[in-house]
Amino acid sequence: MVMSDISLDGRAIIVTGASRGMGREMADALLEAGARVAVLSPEADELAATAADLGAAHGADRVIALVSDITDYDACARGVAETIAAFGGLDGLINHAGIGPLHVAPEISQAEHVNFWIADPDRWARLIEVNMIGTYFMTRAAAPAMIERGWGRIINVTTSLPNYSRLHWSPYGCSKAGIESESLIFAQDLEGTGVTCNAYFPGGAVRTAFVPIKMHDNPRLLDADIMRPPIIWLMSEQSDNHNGKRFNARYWDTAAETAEAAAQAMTIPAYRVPPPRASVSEGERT
Amino acid sequence: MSDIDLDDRVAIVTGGSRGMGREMGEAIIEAGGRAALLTPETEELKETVNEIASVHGTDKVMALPYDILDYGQCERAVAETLEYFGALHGVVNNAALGQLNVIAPDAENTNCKFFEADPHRWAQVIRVNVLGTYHMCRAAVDHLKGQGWGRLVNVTTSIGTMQRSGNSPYGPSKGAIESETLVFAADLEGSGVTCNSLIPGGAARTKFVPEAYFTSRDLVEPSIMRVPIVWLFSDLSDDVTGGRYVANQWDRSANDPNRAAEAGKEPPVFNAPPEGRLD
Repeated sequence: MVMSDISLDGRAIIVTGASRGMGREMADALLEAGARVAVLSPEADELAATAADLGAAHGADRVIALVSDITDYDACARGVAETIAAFGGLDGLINHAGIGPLHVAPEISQAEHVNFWIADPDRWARLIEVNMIGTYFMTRAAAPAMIERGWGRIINVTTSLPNYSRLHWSPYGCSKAGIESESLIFAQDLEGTGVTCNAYFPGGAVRTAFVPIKMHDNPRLLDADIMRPPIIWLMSEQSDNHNGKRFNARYWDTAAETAEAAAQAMTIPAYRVPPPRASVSEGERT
Repeated sequence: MSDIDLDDRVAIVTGGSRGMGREMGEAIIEAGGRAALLTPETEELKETVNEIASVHGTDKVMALPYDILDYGQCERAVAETLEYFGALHGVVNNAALGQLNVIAPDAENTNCKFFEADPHRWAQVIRVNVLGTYHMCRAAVDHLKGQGWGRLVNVTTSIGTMQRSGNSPYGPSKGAIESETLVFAADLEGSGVTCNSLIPGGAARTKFVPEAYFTSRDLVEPSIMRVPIVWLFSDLSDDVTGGRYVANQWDRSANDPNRAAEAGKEPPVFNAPPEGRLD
């Protein structure tokens, strides 16, 4: 298989939301490619089981479990410190943890997407906290160690463009639209440091707890393992020249050469290119 | 200014004690509407409401000393508005925490990178801007849908701010609100309630920017928002929802207010997937 060409050779990577679904798949793929992985989730029991499985498959010394809530900044900082203590450094962060669209519906209709006025305000707020603020807190906690070493990778998992304007997609789409903006700005803030930040998404609904269970036999759903091949490339030196880009796992061709597969997976940014600023930029130059 | 008569319509304007919020509140009143100004800054709010009432009358303006971060307070604000004015026609979500005044108050380093920012301040900007906007829309929407007419106007920012270095978290917060505008508009389709974004079109001369900028930069005056907000609260904008309007692009020479607004319209901030792709 083409992917096994890339060796991640002991790289230390934190994957949030790694106890199941796409997070677990990415962690497993990175371990398979030679990396060491800190799997993070607040769900202690599921995380312990996942870490034990991954340790049994790839070596217990290559996996650590971080039981952390990413909405607690101090917990994020502790998770980063524990990873560095265990692995001797930090090379990458995958911000995958997120609350899905079904979370905001009231208990009675948890299987459906709802209008914003049906959603429970506390749940709506919690989703923004976890997805937007959690992504920032982990990145804020992890970036300085990578900047200091002059190399690093930050990947923010987002979603497909239509979800930023789609009926019933608040606040999930809104939170990911915010993360697309975070990704673009983080990338520019990091320019020249050797650390990059890119957005990465599956390219369609995935057969995980994010999708109503009654839809899971729909053949158009993607499987969580679609995230595996591109994440290895994204975490390697081969993606050094990509910063502030956006990659769609659906279009990664596992039969193609890596560079070609990456070129196909890369797509347009989430935000329109800003128009030239006439009068305001004139003023700024004076 | 314009011939538009807002015919006693009532708007809640958040962040209404100063800057663009105050301008929009006054413009709505001057066009024949009424305004409930909301902010947690009670002293400034009292002064602003007194000043406006002394010009236009106490039946045209009211104070809502509330914090949009607290959903219960947003519900109370809507209830008090309905009690005082007997009506509510829309919300202008103008209240926000800014980048320069909250994240990078040091005028020597206005380009504060995300890894230098105070994480707790960062989080607070997201909460006030993203959740606050939602809370007010959520608190007002049942009444607006019930009467089959309403306006939700979210004040956001220029696209460049959503992608340029040094603009996190303000840019991301406004990017998320652009998505709220589009999704809320889709959710409200056919209800008679519209949801649109409105931006000044450049940094405005308000407390969002250091005072040093007032002389050194080409700033937009906060009064730029007056004409657009009156149009957005009138029947003339009945057919526009999910739109994005740029105040300083308004065609102020046009006789037809709809044509003037058309000049201020901008496409959504988000790209559509390329043809044939699921991006």
